[in-house]
Amino acid sequence: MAQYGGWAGKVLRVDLSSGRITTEDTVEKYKDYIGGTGIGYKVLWDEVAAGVKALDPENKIVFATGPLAGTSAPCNGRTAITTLWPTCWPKHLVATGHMGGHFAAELKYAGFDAVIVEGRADHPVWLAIVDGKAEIRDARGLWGQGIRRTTYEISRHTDVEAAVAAIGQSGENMVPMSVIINSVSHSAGGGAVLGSKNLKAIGVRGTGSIHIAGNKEDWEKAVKYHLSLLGANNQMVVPNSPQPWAEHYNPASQWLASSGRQWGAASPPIDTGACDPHNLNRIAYRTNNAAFFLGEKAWRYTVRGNGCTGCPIRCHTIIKVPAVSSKYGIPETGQNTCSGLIFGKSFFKSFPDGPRGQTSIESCMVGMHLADDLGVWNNYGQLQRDFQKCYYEGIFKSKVGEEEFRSYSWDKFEKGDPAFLFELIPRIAKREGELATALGLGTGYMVEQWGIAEADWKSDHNLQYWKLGHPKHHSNEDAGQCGVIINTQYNRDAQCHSHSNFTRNGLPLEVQKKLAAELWGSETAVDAPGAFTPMNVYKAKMAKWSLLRKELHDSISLCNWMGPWSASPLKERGYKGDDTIESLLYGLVTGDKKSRHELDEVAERIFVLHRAITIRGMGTKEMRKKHDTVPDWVYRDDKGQAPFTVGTIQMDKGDIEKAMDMFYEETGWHRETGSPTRETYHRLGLSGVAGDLGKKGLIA
Amino acid sequence: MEAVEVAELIRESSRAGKLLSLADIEEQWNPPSGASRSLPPDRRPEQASAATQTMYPQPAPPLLTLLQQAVLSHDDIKVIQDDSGGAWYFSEHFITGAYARVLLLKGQGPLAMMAGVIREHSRACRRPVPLALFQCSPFNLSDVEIALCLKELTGNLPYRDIAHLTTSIGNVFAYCKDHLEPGYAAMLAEWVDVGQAENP
Repeated sequence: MAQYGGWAGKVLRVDLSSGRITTEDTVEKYKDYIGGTGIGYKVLWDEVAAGVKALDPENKIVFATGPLAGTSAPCNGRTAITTLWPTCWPKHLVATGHMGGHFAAELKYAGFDAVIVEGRADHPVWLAIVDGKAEIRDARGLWGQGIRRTTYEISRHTDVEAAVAAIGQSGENMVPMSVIINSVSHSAGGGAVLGSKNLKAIGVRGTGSIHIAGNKEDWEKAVKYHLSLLGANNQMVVPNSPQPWAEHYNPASQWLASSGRQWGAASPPIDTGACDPHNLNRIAYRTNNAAFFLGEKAWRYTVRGNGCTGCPIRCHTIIKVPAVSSKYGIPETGQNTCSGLIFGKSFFKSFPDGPRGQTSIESCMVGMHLADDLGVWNNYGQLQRDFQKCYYEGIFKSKVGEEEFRSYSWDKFEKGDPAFLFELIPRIAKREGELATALGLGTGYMVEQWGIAEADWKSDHNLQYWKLGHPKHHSNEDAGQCGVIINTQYNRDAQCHSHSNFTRNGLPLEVQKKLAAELWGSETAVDAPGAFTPMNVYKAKMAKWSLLRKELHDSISLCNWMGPWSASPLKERGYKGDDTIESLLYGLVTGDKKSRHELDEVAERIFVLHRAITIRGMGTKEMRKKHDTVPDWVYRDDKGQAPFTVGTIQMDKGDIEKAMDMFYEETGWHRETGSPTRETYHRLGLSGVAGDLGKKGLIA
Repeated sequence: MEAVEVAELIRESSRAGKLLSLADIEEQWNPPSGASRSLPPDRRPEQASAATQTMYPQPAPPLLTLLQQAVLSHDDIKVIQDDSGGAWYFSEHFITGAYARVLLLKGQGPLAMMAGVIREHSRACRRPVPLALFQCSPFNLSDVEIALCLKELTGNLPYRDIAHLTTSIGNVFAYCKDHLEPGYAAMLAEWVDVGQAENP
């Protein structure tokens, strides 16, 4: 271990059934899988048998970081949570959640790269990890408390600087749609798994440091170089309005900073200014996700940006909305990003003062307050889309008893009154009544319970439902066939941003095409939004590259919501990013020099191991037919436009079949089954995996 | 005055986000009676080349010649022309050509500016423009001004190529019909206004 930097060196294993706590050598056991999801998949492959269910004591949940977590590398705040996923339908299969915040860094500073939790405690407990020591403590006094109070209490018993990853009442009640949250607002799913183990929280505090193997000056140079490539949130590299320094601007960009746009609730207000990309001290001013997602009004409520360890993007915007304190009795400040930020407003179809008015902002404040304390998950907005469909199509009314149905203030809901959320979200967390309990199961189990065909969900474009109980996440709307391929690969929403962060980067199409030619071999790899061309092999290469970048980031602890950095805001570079930045940072921090190609091969090993666990869990090698499916809505257009017509995102069935053929060809998977071939397993150092699958007849 | 000083004047203006015309420069170079003709010390060019210093001994050559010299001898000094052929100067150290074009359009008044920006987005980028963009710097139009311009843009002969649409959340986008089909414009506007935020 001594020769490597980056890794803290130990993996903590906590058996809650016996109370036994042990450690393992990270490098010795997991180096070939780097960290993060790599460690998670390795543990699930080696230690969790097929047929185990998510809430069984035999399931394990792995909190894992990578060698870059806790260093000064930009965007390193990610912790990967790997487990059997409780909303994966009709069978619990392996999946991951990814939380930002400060948990990853604290865990590393405490001397651990990962925590493997197994078994089930016989009473509520929490896990204290402080500077190399771990201890299981009684949590009966915390059980029944929200995440905020749990965080305060555990911080009081450890250290004010502790990072606490906790579940709320929702997780305690083993509601499948539950999250684990650390650092106020940084969430990942899997809360019900923690609840099933009677584990309320993990509080971690470390005062150690991370050894950088490389030369200090080289490291600092690499960090500054990486910073220079950063754009705004989701790696949008052009501003959304004209700036004196900018050759391009794009009104769709999340780079909102501009003279005259102020954080209005800061005291005094702060002008975000022009934000020339060469000024690395102004990166944090580029993004205001409150303004992007909630509208112009949110500027006046913005206090500042907040975010994860080492990340200058600050995507969790802090907003202060004084009115909600007196109206709803909740704190006047809140923070979150993306679908967490719009958790509350997404339930409603309309608001009395319009879609981006004051009421919609207040609904977001109420939603964040409830969901981030009770610990309710939204499944990338599927919860809210399901809710609207079930209400407006009369499903709730027909499936739920009359008394229960009438107990909800539907008039408030229809009027867009945020107070309605106080009736709904706590009931989901507490499994109160059939309606809320069904919503808390997740889409697949909800429709099954109510005797609704999954096909009904798969045919409704507005629902954005994809498969296995989960929605799409940047599919054909973002990158045509490449997006479709990516969305076939996982057992929950894909959570891959490698492709969408490229297609949404804001650069003109001709610049994107030049970059695409360098990255994937041809300008034809990318199309303009809603102007897709038929499949070609370069799109398949882009899909594979995107998936491997995601797995690389999730294992090395870089944020795939912000990266990869395949484009940059720098005109002098021709807007080129650098997809060798990961290998540069990895080599410097660990001392284990690997080229981009070599590191991609490790990422591919991790990705294929996920595939192998899924094949074993499903008990079939027929992945193309049974797993890599595409919902019907992808092949429909509300206006009846044909595929490849300008103005539609509709795909063509034959073309998508061709896309899958090409993707399997690129990955070395069997074209008919969609399973990796024995040769591919061998190539990636997974011969043992191939052997085990072969014995079960699960290899192509 | 020498070319190097003219270049510095242009840079100072660009630093403040402004283009300079010949008339602007003349005005700055012919200050009111009693005022100093010399640039203040903090605005003096730091490294005037010897060649430039000796090229134009007193009396100074005509300003236009100096400007041409400034453009030729300073890589960052650029000139763009407006629709009537008027020349405008800026320094690329502080303003890109794209931003200079925006400022040029702004100089033509709100209506022409909006039409110009809308046409450029449709032609060069194939995208409609949210009218809220014109509230931002450097456009800085008010809601009322934008609404008035939209009214003028609608149906008037010089702007018959400009069309507008409203997204499902009520925001107005405009585009140029010569470069963007109505259906595609509607799809893109809905994607930018609603789709992106719902698919974060």
